[in-house]
Amino acid sequence: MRRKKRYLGLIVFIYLFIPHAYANQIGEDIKLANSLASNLRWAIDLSTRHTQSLRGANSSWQHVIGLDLHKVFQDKNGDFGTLLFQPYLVRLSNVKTPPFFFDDGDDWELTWRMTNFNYTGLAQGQLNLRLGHFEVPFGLEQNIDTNGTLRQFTFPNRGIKADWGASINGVLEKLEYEFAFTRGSGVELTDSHNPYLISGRIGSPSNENFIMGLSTFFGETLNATGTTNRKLAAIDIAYYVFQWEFLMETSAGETSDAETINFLIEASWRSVLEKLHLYTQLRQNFKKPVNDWADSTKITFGANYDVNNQISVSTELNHDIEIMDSSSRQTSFLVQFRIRI
Amino acid sequence: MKHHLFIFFLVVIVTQIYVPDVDARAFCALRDPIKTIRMLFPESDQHRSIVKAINSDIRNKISDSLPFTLHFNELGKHTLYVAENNQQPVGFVHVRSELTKWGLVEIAWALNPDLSIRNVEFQRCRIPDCNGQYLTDVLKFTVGKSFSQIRSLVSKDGKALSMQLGDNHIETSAFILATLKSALKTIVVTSVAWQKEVADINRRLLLEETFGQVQHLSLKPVIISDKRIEQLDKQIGGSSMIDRSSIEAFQIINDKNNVGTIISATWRDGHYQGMFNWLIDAEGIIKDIRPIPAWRDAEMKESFAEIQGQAFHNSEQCHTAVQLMGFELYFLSHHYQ
Repeated sequence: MRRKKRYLGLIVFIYLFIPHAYANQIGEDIKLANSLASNLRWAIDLSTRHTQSLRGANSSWQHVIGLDLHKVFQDKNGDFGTLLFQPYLVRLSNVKTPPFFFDDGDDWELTWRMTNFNYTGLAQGQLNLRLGHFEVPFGLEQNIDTNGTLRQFTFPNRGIKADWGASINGVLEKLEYEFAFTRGSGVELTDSHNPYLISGRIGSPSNENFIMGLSTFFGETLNATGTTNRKLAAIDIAYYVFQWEFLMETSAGETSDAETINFLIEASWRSVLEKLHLYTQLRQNFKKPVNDWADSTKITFGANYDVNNQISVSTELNHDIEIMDSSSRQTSFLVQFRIRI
Repeated sequence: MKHHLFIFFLVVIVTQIYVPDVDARAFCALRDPIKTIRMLFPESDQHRSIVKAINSDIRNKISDSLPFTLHFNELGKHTLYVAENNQQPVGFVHVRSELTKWGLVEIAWALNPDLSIRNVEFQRCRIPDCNGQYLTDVLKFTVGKSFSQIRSLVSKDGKALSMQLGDNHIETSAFILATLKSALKTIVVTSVAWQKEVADINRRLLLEETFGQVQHLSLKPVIISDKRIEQLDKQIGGSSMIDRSSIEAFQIINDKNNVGTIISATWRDGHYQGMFNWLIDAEGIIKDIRPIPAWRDAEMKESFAEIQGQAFHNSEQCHTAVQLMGFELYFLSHHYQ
């Protein structure tokens, strides 16, 4: 049943596109077929990622192949919506702690990245309605794409990166916003344990050199055995000057009734042509289950190099400086090859 | 695992042989510049995206017109936004990245329908004073200017500003040069990659200006036969500044009556190339001529304005190259009568 639901999007896709392709062949409804092919971008996205633990010598692999499709719909009144469709097959090999929607660390699954329709026909982009699977609007992730990249920000603190549901969003002259009500189940659409999530971010324009945003996040998010109660509020700041980028996000709230405070800072540099991107991140998480605060600190050094428009190579070194449970301190090295054709 | 890696690297090698028009970034990172469109065209109440592939063919065509061309990073699918007011096109927004010594700058160019520059906005510029003095200078040199006028501000080899500009703007000259190159590339890329759409919109605007509402008009394509071209060449000797393969002619039908012809054609005189829309009435009188990109200069505009209101039914009437073009287009497009 779970897998049937995951294939639902593929069936919708075939229904939308294949019948019209047939109509084109027999000479009927050519205009409609042409309009479906227009304003269409698509690519096959492949990547392979190797993770090597430098303590314990464990190594694991992740291989991904997916379709990345983007289409703008329009009528006589202009653009009225954007479809994103990103089904990805993920193969894990020897992963010690796989995400809970995998059966184990040697499994494959059809997963959904961004797969949604954003209706933009109401007020020239100032009030849009989004439906489908989309990034939970929270913190730095709202403006910076980290899908399929080694570089990530703070979604592990929330246990969910993207979710199924609906949102209102828009770009005004002085601010951008998105508020969402979603299922709380993450990659798969399920009502098991009845999770839910309300999230939102409001921020200054994302094309400026100094950007600040405020976010909120509360609800019950699905985990392997049930749900986790989470309440968070955050502030994020991005500052760009010449080839440098400085990011900061701090959030505070409760996770499973324990008080939590999270910090992330990042400094990064890009070459003039932006082919090379070097970054370093410092994350700190504080948790107070009952009386005493415990904390963990992690440092990351990363690099991404775009060989050309098709191929990128990225690498990361993650090191736990301080952890809440000293028995599982990790230092790991990751490398990823990604290709888009 | 070696097997998986082998397949992956095989795909890598294949893609280096066949280079598709894809974007390096995932498409979920795409953001329409809706705020910028509203800012550049405050009168617009909607916009329309037209996505096209910018490939190496277009890159080569740009190098025919300019001493520089697109960087390979600029290839891939790009969007031209048509700003509209009450379903009427009012102009275009074209966002391009330009390389500066401080990194890539994303510049949103607002173009009038004739592809002259209407306005500009730095959509992403990491120089702290980008929207201050830099923007002021760029606006001064580009707004209201045609391709030829901007081209004259850049040295012949495209590597420097013209002498006068270079002397007066030493502080910002490298940045201004980059933005002027971006403006020139934007105009050429728009006119080449979106040629059909730009021609359609200009044709529609010309008809609206001439006839008011266009809903009651219909356009019937005129087929230009090889025989007709042969007949023409016998009269004018076979030399033409017009690219014959580019000619698109339509009879304008109003309530079953032929009221004229509208003709699109590209031409080149060695220093300048562009496209024209010619409106010729049923008697063969030239009613209007609109260039894309905009007129090179006032002299050129004047030379074409002189033949408006005249008819050229044979080559012996023609004493200038402009008059000969008028006859050529009339001859090719009016054989249906």
